[in-house]
Amino acid sequence: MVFASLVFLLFFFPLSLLFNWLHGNINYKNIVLVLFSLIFYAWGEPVWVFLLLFTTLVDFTMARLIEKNENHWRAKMYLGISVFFSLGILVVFKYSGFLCGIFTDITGYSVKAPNLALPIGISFYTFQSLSYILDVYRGQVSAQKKYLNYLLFISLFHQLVAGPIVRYSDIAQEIEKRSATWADISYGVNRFAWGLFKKVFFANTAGTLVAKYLEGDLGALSISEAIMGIFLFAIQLYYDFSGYSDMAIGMGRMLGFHYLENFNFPYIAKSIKEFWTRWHISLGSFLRDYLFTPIAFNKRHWGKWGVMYALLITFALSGLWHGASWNFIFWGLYFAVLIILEEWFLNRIFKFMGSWLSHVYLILAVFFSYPLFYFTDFQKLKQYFFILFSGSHPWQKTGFTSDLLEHIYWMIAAIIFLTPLGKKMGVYLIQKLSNKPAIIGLANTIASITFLLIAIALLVAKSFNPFLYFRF
Amino acid sequence: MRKNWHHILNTLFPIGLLAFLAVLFSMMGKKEISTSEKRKLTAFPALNWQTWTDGSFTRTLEDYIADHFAYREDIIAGTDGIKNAFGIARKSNEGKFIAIKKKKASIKTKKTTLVIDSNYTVALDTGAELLLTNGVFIYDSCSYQFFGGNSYSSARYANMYNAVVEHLPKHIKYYAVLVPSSTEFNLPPATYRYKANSETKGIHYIYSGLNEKIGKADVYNHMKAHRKEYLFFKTDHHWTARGAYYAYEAFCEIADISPLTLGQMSSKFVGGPFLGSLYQLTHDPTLKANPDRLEIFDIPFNGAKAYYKFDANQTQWTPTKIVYKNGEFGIGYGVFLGLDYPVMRIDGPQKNGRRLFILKESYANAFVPFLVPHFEQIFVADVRYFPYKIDKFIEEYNINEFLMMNQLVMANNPYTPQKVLNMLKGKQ
Repeated sequence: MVFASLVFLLFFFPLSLLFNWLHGNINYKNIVLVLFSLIFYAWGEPVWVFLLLFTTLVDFTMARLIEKNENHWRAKMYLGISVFFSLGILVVFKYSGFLCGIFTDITGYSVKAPNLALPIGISFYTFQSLSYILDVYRGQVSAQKKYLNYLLFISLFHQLVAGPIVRYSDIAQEIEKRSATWADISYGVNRFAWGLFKKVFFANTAGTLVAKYLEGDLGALSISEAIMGIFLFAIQLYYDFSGYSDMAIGMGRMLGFHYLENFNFPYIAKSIKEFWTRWHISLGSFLRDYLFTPIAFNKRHWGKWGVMYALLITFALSGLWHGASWNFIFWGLYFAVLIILEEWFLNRIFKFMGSWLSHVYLILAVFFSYPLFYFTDFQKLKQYFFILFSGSHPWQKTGFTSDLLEHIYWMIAAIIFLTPLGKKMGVYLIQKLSNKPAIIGLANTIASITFLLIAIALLVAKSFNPFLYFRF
Repeated sequence: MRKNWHHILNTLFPIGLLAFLAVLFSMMGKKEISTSEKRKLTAFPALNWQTWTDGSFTRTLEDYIADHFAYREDIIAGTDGIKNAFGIARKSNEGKFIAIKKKKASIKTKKTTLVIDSNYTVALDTGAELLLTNGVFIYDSCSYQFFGGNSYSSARYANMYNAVVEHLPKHIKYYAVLVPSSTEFNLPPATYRYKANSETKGIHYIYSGLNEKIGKADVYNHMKAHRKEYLFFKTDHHWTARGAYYAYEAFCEIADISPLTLGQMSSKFVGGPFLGSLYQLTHDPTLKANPDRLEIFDIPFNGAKAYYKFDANQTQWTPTKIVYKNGEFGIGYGVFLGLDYPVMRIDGPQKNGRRLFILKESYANAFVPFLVPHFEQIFVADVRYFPYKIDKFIEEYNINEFLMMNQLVMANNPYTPQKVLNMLKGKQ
C-alpha cells in the first residue's frame, strides 16, 4: 500500500487512528499498530510479510544474545550472524541480478539470477535492523525485551516503505511510553496533508512532464527540452521523497512518535558536502556513523588518503543502495569526487568569490548528477549528454515556450517551496498573528482540508480513462 | 480545552473529512458504465487466495474506489480547473499535441494470417504501422487526429474488400466510400498537416487496389469544394450531417441516384451547444470554450420505418428511429441512428427493388439517413458487432447492393479487415 492512494486515505489511515485512540493502554496501542503495519505491508506484498516476520525474529534473537554475551567473543559472532543474515537477504533480493550480470561479464559463463520480486521497503528496514544490532553491540542501546515491540520498530507502516530510516535509539522510549497532545495531533495532520500535497500536486505532475521529455524518442529532443526534463526530475525526486517523509513524520506525531527530519531544503546548500547533510538525512547519517567513520578510523594511518578512501567506498555503496545498477554506483562516486575536490581547492575559490558562486556550483553539480540517476541504460545516458553538448541538436523547438508557460505558475510554486521561503513566510505570519490563535487555527484547518481535497481530487482524476468508441 | 480548541478543530475536520468521504463512497450507489468515458467501470474484485496473493485484488480495489468515487465526474471536471491554473494558456492558433494514455485501450490482435479461401490470403500484422498517432492535436480551438496509415495498411483493406467481392454472389453491385478527416481540410499544411500521413494518398492507395467491380465514391473532392462549411465537429471525431451530405452526393454519382439537393431539405440546429468525444478525451479548455452545435436536415423519409437487432438470437426486429431529433440519446452525434446497433433494417419509401447492405462504423450514421428516400430496404451492419455470417444474411434478405463505408483511419486499422474476414467465416 502507498500513502498516496484512496484505499489508504479513506479507509486505512482513519481506521488506524480510530483504533489507536480507542484505548490508552500502550500494549494495546502497540498491538494495534503492529497489526495495521502488517496489513499495510501484506496489502501489496502478501508473501513477503513472512520474510519480514522471520528477519525481525532473527535480529531480535541475535540482539538479545549479543547483550547476554557482552564483551565476549560470542557477541561478535552473533553480530556477524545478524549482519550477514540481513545483508545476505538484501543481496539475494536486490542485488543478485546485478551480481550475476557482473559475473557473466567477467567470466563469460552465463549465470541466471533467481527471478525474485523485490520486497517493498527491504532497503529501509534492513538498514533499520542493522543500526539496531550495531547499537546493541556497541552498548549504545539496550536490546528490546519484547518481540512485539521490536517488530513494531521495524514494521511501523509510517516509515516502512520510504523512510525516514528511524534508529532504534530515536524511538526506543516512545515504543514503551508515548502520548500525543492535541497540539501534536494537529501538527501531525498539517504535516501529513502538506506531505500528501507535495507528493500528488508537485511530484506526480512533475513526473508526467518528465516522462513527456525523457521517456520518448531522445533523439528528437532539443537542448532546452533535455534540460527541462532533468530539471523537472530534480523537482519530482525532491517532492516525492520529502513528501513521503513529511507524511511519515506527521503520522508518527499523531500517535506520539517523534521522527527526525529527513530533508532540510537540500537545493539551497553551498557544497555537495552540505547537500548530503540536507538530503535524505537519515540515510546520510546512517552511512556516516556505520560506514564512513569506521572505515576512516580503520584507515587513519593513511592520513587524508584514508578519508578519501572512506568517502569513495561510502558514496559508492550509497549509490548502490539506491538501485542495483552501475549508474547508481557512478552517481555515488560522482558526489564523492566532488567532495574531495571541494576539500582540495573548490571551497577556497568559493570563499574568495562569494556564496553566489557556491550556490550556482551546487545547482549545476546536482543537475548533472541526475542524468546518472535517471538513465539506467548507458546508451541513453550517452545520448542525453550528446544532446546537451554535441551542438547537433537545436536549442529549442516550436511549442516549447508554450509548454513552459502552460505550467509556469505551478513551476514558480514548486521552486518557491524548494527553498525555505514558504516556511519563512509561514513562520512570519504565525509570529504576526501570535495574539490571534483563532485565526492561526482556522488557517491551519483550511490549509489541511484544501491540501487533502486537492490531492484526493487529483488521485480520483487519475482514473479518468476515456475511449473514442464504447468499450464494454 | 478552551486553549486547545483550534488544535481539536484542526484534527477533527481533516480526519473527519477523510472518514466522511469513506462513508459517502460506501453509501452511494455504484454505476456500471461511464457514458462520458465510453467504458465499463471497474467492478468490485473477487477476493480469494489467488487474487490476494498475486496482488490483483488490492490493485483492482484501488481502481474500483477511484471509478466509483462520489461525484467522480464533477471532481474530474474540477481538476481540469486546477490544471488550467498551472500556467498561461497557449494562443489558440498554436498547435498542441495531447498524448492520450493507452491504458486498456489497445485492440488485441495477434500477428496472424487469415486464409479466406484458396485464392485470398490476407496478412494481418498489428505491429507494422502506426495508424493513428496516439493523441489528439488541438489547433485554433478545434481537435484533430493524425492519420498514420500507409501503403501496407491500405493494401490490407483493399485485399479484404476484394475477398468480400469474390466471396459474395456475382449479381451484387459494390460501392466503396472512404471518408477523410478534418485534418486533411482544416490544418495549415506547412505548419501542422505535414505531421500526419496524407489522407488523399491513403484513399488513392486503397481505391487503386480495389476490384474494378467496386464503384469508388470521390468523397474528398466533393467535400473539398465546400471546405469552408461546417463539415466536421470541432470537439468530436465525427463529421456533421452537412459533411455527410457531400459524401452522399459523391455516392449518388456511382450508385445511379439523383441526389436530393440541399435546397430540397430544410435544416435546423437542435439542442444547445455540446462537447464531443475529443473534448472528453482531452478536456482541453480551448475546446470547452468552443462547443459544437448539431445541425439536422429535414430529409423526406415518407413513412420509412427503422428496426434493429442486438444479437443473432433475437428473432423479431425491434422498432427504432432513423434520427432521434428529440435527443433521446443526448444531443450529439448519437442522434443519427441512435446507437451503433449491430444491425439495423430500414424499410424505405421506394418500391424499386433496391436493397442495400452497408458495412460501416459510426461515420455512416450521419450518412445513412440521406439514402433512405432512394431504397426499398437498407441494412446497416456495424463492423464491430454484426453477429451473422455475411453471405447467409445477404442471401436471406435478397440484398443486391453492397456498400463498405469507412473513415480512413478505421479502414487502415488492422481491426476492421480482421472483423470483416471473420464475418465471412461466420465468426465474431
